[in-house]
Amino acid sequence: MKNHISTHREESGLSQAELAEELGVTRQTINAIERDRYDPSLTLALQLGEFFGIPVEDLFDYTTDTTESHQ
Amino acid sequence: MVLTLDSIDTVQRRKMSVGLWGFGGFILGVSVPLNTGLLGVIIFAICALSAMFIVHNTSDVVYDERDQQLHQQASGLTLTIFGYASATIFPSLTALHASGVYDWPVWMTPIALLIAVLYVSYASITAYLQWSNK
Repeated sequence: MKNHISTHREESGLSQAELAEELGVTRQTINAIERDRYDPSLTLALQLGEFFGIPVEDLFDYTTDTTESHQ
Repeated sequence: MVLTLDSIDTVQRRKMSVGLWGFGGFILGVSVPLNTGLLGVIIFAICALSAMFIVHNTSDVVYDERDQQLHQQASGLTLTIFGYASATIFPSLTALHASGVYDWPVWMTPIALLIAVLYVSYASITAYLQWSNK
């Protein structure tokens, strides 16, 4: 899922390793999320939103085709 | 530069722990045909304890939710592959055996039993998780 985590992280002046330490995950996980290679758990997504002080829906672009199939 | 346990990063810890588990398992495996089983078990135990120590003796996160998800996907895929293979191979061999075309090789029996135990365990754990998640 596309996201804006790297933008918010860089605005906060944090490295991937520092953000990972704050959230209790590995640097590789933050890197994978930023590169759109891993969708975080709901808990981690909410933690990211809380950490940056923004709603989680502003961090992630939820625009998959599955939304149409559920309607 | 001296490499101490405190100075190694999480990637090195992961590699070391996987390497120790692999090495210990290999030594255990080859110790049986070499008639050095007890020594193999001791080396395996040392490797296993060292691997656990390396992973847990740090304040850094070595494995996280992404690793857990990868392991769940790998476990699911492994079970699926074994499931389809077993559902194809064993009924075919049983049918051939029943029609007198083919005899079950002796070495195939423990494999079939192991697969059966694996899937009974899987079904039991699945049932337990369904029950506990009510």
